[in-house]
Amino acid sequence: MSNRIDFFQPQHNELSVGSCAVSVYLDGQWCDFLVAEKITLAANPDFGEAVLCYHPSNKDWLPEEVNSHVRCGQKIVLKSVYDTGIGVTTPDQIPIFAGFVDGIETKDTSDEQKVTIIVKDFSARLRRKMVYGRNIYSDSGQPVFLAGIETVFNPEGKPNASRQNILQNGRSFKAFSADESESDYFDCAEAIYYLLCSYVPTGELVIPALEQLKALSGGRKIIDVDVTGLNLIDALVRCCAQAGLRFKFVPSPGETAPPQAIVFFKPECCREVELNCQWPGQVIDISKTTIASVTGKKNFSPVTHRYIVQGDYKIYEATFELVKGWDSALEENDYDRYSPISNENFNEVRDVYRKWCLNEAGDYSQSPYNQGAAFDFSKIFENGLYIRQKRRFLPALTCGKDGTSIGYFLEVSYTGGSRWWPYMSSFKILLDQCGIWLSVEQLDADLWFAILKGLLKFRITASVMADERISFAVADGPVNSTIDVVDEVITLPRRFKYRKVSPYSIFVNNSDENLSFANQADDTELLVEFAQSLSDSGGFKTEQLQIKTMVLSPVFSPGDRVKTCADSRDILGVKYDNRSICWLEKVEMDFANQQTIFTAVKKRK
Amino acid sequence: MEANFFASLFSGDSANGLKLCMGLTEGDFWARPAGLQVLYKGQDNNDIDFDRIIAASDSGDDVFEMSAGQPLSRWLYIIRRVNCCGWEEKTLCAAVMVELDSLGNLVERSCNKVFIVDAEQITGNRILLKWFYQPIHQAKKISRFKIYYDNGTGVIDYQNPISSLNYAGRKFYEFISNELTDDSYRFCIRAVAADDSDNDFTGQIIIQLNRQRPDNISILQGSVI
Repeated sequence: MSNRIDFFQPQHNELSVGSCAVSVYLDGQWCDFLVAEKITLAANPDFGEAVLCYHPSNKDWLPEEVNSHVRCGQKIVLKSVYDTGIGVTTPDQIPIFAGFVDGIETKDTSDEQKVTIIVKDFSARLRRKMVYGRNIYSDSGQPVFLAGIETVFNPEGKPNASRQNILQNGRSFKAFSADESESDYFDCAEAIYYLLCSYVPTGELVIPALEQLKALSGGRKIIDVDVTGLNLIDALVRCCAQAGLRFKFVPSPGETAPPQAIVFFKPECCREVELNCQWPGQVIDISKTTIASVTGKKNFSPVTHRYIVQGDYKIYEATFELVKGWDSALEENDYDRYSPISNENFNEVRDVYRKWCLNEAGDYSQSPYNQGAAFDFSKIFENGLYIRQKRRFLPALTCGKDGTSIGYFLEVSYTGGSRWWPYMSSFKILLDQCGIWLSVEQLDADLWFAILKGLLKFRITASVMADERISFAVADGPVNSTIDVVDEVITLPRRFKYRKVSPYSIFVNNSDENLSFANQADDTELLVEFAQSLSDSGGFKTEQLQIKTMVLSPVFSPGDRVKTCADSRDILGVKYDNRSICWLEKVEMDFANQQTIFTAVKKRK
Repeated sequence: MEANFFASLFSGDSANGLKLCMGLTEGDFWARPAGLQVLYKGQDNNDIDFDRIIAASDSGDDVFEMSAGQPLSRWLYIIRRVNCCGWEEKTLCAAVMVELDSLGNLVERSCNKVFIVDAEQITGNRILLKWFYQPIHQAKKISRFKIYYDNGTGVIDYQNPISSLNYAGRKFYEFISNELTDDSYRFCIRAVAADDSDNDFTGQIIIQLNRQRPDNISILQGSVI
């Protein structure tokens, strides 16, 4: 029995891995009264944020006096220390976050006094800028701002970009055209560049060169994208979505450059970072084990997502021979009966000899009309996929010399259809069906004689809208298999058009000097490109992961693609699932717990 | 496998192949399934010959024994890990600069230099110096700081520090000078290890004291409000 007590002191009382801290610079001045608690790095839509704690070493600085030291809008740069020397220690600093004081939160209770400074990156400033109007290239070369016009890029597929660049804010860029007859198309990169150059003053933000944006977007077209009334962030997001791009704000390393830069990226093209974990039983080594914990949630899979992109209904021009649209029992050889001038009861016979229809719905097939079978559109529409329903004539696609549509070209035959002459008198287009109504007060003599002989006929060259839309479908997995297919239907009638002069139009391959081109359109190629980009950048995620690291590391960035070393456990499943890509969606540096917390997502390639 | 290891495939009898143990399989198979570490060297980071392996060791080893270099020589050694498949990491993180003095002894390194220094003139013509020290990868553990100045002469007296502060962890350190009468002063702060060796840091903080005061008020007017 002994009453001796032995005390032992630890031989090592220091951390094997030093804690990570950052230096805070307020308006360019090193600041010792702000301490970083948390930094969150993210791309759109969340963007970056830092939480700082007001912690003055001088006890005379009371929490309620924080406003005399920190004010909203002041620039904050957080810098981390790293060893720049190779073989020789040379500590240096690198900015890991830059932003502006966006808010100051105070908590003053009986047991706690805390002042928290919320710092947000440049996205917060861009959210306060509203997009409206257009910068127009004027003939003098000077930009003119028209505030009342909508900011729409290539509305309804028509070009509206100037052919010359304007010079504004010290930058040269393509603006909107003053004369839409002499315009170029905006592509996706030019639209993004226009927004950045127009709304971000020079020297506040580093923006990429137009060539870099073009290379990243792959020359992707932008059609009918309206950003009027959106804030600048939402406008950029809408333009970037056309090319599957995302963007984030990063601190700029240069001393003289603006403190932040906007970076556009595609997650599938970003750099790769390794997140590793040693096998059980091995001695822990922080250079071989990055991951401290993982929580994951797998979504139901495999599922094929099929993107069905639809444009406007197809429109075809053709020449349609019309049938009688009246009860033949009302026909008489009384010329005066069929004129409102000479017959008080004209309304009883108003359609006789005047109403000519296509009979597209079969309304005139039965008695008392007996005009035969309903009109067959299958040859004009190039397939039989249509409903027998009433339609209406639209102006012809063929244009006259002035470049505008010739409208409705009505012809008459006095010889039972063997010869046709342009009908020069007035007529009306029926709005509730495909047909016309002769609106002359009195039928002319030629018509009347043809009626008497039973040889009068009419035909019209016009357009008709089909029941089928221009469309294209892209699937990100197998279809017609045991795997479920989820259809996502996107309908963009203003963006994608299809108009065609069918072989059944008298103006197909015309060589008439009085006619010019036909206003045809086929946006199939653009639609396919758009559908492909939707499939590539589709939001379907097969798995979401939250990963915590062993030690806090400031080197990770949103968009980094996750891979695992060959020696590591495949704890994230990135080696096993080689049909998916995994990238970091959000990086959160928690200085209190000395951990980096990643939100990672997986998506099928 | 890395392209620079392919020379070892010819019966494993190349210089690199012997170090990688490729001779055991006559170059047919990668013979290091547990991975290994390889050592390279060069005069500086632009001069390292990554095609020539100086030495190799098992992945768990933490020592490379090399013959000492010539006096007054200087070599940069880089260690890289190679995994079970023969893929080598591409990093310069594990590096050490070995410098020998005229007697062939290893030149020892000491603490890091003081990192951020800020100076501020405070009341009474005194100067407040504020700084931070980063113990990242320090060769010797820091014990204290010594502050030197030039007493207005333009030449700092490194023999007689004007103050000394013990290091007490990662925090900001401050020093307030006595009243300074000249217009310009130079200060230097050095980190000192427990064995009294310092980093020979010669960086100077040049202070220009501002003695200007606002002009006296020349017109004073009063009125009834």
